[in-house]
Amino acid sequence: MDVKNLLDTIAGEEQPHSSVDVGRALAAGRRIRGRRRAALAAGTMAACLAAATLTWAGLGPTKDGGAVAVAVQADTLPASGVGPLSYAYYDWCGQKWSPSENTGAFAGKECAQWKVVTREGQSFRMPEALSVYTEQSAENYMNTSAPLAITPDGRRVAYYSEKDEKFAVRDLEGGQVWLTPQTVTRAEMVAKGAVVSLSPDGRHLGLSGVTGNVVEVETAQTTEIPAGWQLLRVFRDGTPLVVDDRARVGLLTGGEVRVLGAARADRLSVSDVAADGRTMVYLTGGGSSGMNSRPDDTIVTLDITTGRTLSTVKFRDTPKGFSPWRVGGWHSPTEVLVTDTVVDGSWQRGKAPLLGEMAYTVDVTTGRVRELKAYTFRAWAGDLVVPGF
Amino acid sequence: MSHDEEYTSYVSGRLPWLRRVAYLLCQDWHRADDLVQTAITRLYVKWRQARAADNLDAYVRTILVRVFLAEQRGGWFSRVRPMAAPPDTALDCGDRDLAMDTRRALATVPPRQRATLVLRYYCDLSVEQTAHALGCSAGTVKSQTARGLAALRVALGTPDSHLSPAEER
Repeated sequence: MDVKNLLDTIAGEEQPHSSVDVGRALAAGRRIRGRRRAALAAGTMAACLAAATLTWAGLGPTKDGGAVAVAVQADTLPASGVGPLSYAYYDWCGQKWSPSENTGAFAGKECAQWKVVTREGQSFRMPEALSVYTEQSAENYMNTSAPLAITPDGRRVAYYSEKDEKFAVRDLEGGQVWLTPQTVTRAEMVAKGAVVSLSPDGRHLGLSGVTGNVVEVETAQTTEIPAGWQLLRVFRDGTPLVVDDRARVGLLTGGEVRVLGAARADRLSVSDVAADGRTMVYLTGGGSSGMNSRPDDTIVTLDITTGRTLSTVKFRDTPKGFSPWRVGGWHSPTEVLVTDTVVDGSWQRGKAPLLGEMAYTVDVTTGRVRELKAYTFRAWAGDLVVPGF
Repeated sequence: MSHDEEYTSYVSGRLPWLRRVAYLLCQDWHRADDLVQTAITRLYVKWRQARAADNLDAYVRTILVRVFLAEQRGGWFSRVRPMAAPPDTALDCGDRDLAMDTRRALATVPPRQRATLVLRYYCDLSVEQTAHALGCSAGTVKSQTARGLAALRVALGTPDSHLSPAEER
């Protein structure tokens, strides 16, 4: 039985008598409307008085990276000479998208392609990188697009090249493109899905889903992921970090998996290995109890050579509502990058919401959390890729 | 037909569906009714916009999910753990046991992940539609799905359970 059947089973329980009262909702709704009208009338005067303050606030410093990408008809990515990337995204042309109704309408549309944005703010389309699967059906609707990954320095990008039927890694400045040896058809991508993991230096590309291996891109040397294990991340030296069905995490070296005792697979929030080649961190402390849940609040540093825990530090100076869910690379010798979701709670008719992620640094020695940058784009649907994640 | 009549007609017809979605989110019929009551009140306040929406069901479902998540963050449910009402179902024994086990397992999944699972697997929403309903990115939905499935798998006590890895993508 799958998840849908499990949920259908619960939902199929006979409903007890309902206490929901439509008339009560209608009456309460009327009262709320009335209060809002009254508040609006009073607020008009207050808004006039506050106008100077609002203008002043608007001239203040803005958060780094607060600029919002909007649906644009970007140029094609040049063959070489492109500076480091800040992020990548696709946005279904900024239009509303319903998989059962209009997916096919985006076939061949340039505006539905992956778009990359450089640190200088230039935006380019990547026609060579397959983006959304426009042949989506009810069977594969959860597999929406081909993956894309960016190295932490923003200089290399990995993607699926439909023309070559292979995965590719591209050096943006030099223009070199390396293809993985294994052929994967678009139909296989659509049917099975794929996840790419790029090592921090962009020299190793990990593939899972449609295939399971790590390729040294410049030599095409391939390391297969053993049966029973799945790829989590590829370290700088090409070592795969893997997870098994029993939630254990391990390093694949010399064809053998060495299990890291303390780490567990429900901790998908594991970092890259630090520059010292020994330390890795993961987040913990979160969980649920009955109806309640709490986000991770602790960062654990692990020595991957011994599997020993080196430190366990609670977060501090956390922003309100901070709920990290992913750990990326290292921002400094003592700080790792984490991201949280940008939640656009507004609901303005006809206006697409903001989608994206907020990046923070967490000091692994003190637990101090610092807001770093917002990566956002305005669209009804889409996806965003941040370097190093 | 006046706006109020339209609203009443629509909500009355969709109540069973709304209660089922709410029940999947919270596993408690009394609380599900509270969630639905709040959601349809907000729907009334927004009725002019809602009735012009492309998909009215999606509109009210989003309200419902956001009411649930908001209540988790700041409501009394974040401080008080309610006891689930005894099941008064008409299912046969096998289904009842399975439903009870699954309901308990689902209750251990954190709310946001639970909402993601319900939207994707019960409401059959795509990743992007789920992201829109939850107000987050598609990547977050994928991550929350993977984590939710992992938590559900652990709660069901079957690491190699019927939750196929393909569902986690």
